[in-house]
Amino acid sequence: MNCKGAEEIFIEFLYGELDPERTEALRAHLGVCPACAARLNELARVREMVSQRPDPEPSSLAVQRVLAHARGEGTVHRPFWGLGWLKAVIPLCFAVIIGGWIVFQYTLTEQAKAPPALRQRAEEQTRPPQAPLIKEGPAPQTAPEPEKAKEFLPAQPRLDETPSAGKLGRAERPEASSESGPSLSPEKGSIQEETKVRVMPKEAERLRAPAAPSLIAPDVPTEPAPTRTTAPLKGRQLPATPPASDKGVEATGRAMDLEARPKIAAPAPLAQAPGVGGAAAPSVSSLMEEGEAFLKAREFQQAEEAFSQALHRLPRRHPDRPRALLGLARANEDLGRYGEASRLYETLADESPAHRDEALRKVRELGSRGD
Amino acid sequence: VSLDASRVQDLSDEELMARYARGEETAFEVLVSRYRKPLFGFLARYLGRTDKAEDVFQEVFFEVIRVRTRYRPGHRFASWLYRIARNRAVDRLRRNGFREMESLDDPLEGAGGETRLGTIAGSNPDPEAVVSGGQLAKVLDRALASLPPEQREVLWLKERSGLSLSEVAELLGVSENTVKSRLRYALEKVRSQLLEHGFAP
Repeated sequence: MNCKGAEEIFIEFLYGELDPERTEALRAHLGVCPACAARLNELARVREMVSQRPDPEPSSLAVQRVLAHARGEGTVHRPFWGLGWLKAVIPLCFAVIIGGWIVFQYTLTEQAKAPPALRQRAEEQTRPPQAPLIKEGPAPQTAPEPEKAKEFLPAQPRLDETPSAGKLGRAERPEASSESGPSLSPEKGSIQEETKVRVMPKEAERLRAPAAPSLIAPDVPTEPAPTRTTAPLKGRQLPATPPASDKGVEATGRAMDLEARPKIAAPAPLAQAPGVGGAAAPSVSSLMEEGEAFLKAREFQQAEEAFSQALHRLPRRHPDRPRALLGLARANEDLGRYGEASRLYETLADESPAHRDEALRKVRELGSRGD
Repeated sequence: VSLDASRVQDLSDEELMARYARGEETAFEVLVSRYRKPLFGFLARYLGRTDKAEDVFQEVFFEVIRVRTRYRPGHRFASWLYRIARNRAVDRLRRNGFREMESLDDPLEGAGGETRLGTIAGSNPDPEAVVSGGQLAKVLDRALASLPPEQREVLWLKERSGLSLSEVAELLGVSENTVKSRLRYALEKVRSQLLEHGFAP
């Protein structure tokens, strides 16, 4: 064996993959060639140092995430939780949620087309309680209004009957609140009390308006939306007090901040009680509604927090998990955390066949954006 | 029939993966415990940053979980795992335009300003490094991190995967000779950098 032939098999020798026959030939050459021997010896030392360099280790959190992920996936294969069941239910849930969302978006868009009229209406509604706030039966309209606005604004007295009603009404409104709310539970009352110190006067007034008997009525198309102009957006007042009503107070106050507020994205989700029960902690559904509102308001940090909390409380396989994952992924994406967003989209793709294609597309898209 | 822990520990990677594909979660846990350190080592060395390695580490196992039923029991598990890892890592490097390898003094994630090199060197039990006050370790790490990606990739795959030269070649889709020459260049380059800094290997 010559030097060239020896060098060609250095690597195999260094990594212990040289067969005995050639190892013997190499040794024979090294015995007579100090240059090759020295060379190989140096490379062997380098290789040894490389091999023995300690590596950093993964955090236990990363390992736990992996194991938790595997446990969650494992449940899919248990006979009791057949995949068929999920395949049937998850798309259904999403069809309902997305359908509701689209309808809701549409209604809000239509509603937004008539802000002046809504504003007028809202002013009307703030007049003193002595005035005939709620009338049975239709009332004449002041001016032609878009159809959608009418839907949301039940019959009202004429605007010109109560020209200066607004300010006066504001002062007296609190009196009306506790008596006139048809089904105000004590818990809800306390939430409103808590809320009023943190919200703008108009917002507070809205919250104090005669409360709605049908908070979760499926045919009530709108809910009060979070207002970015009020500081405690994270506060629980957003989902906790939707004064939806069929009694003519629907638009009270709400129209005043029409421009400022983001839209609430979804109706009450399927599996959650609506977030109006008065419990101290917000419901998962209200968290997600908040999150979606924050997304629309481009408050991604707060959206991320809301969805994180929601996700944290949703067990695996919960039908609302994909919605929370999607929201969290979008928030992270908009925050520029593409790695995290990508991971979330992947998880979404894993968990929800209905979202798989789109989620994987997002993963690829994010892959090309970089961090 | 569930096996007791000691017997599961004795199973081959391939058997464990096959069991996991059939739904035995314990088998997966054993695989994670076996590959946790070497896989992360490869990723951290190849990517040059522990935070990115952490991301990719999770992605790799998530992928294993996702495609577990596609694992062919006759296929070597380490090859399969490191192929996923390598592809993910390459994606990550491409995504970042390799820029993260530019500075070796990038602070480690949450490490209070301590550099990656400093951290690794500081935790180094290698007698060589102790003798030279950690300087050798620093020079060595810097030399390793400055290798071109394709050499770094081959070097750390070979070191941390336990795969043979031919398996590494197959994984990377290159010839075995290419693998050998890249390894050779890598070792030579490290050697020359050590010499430059006065450390004779």
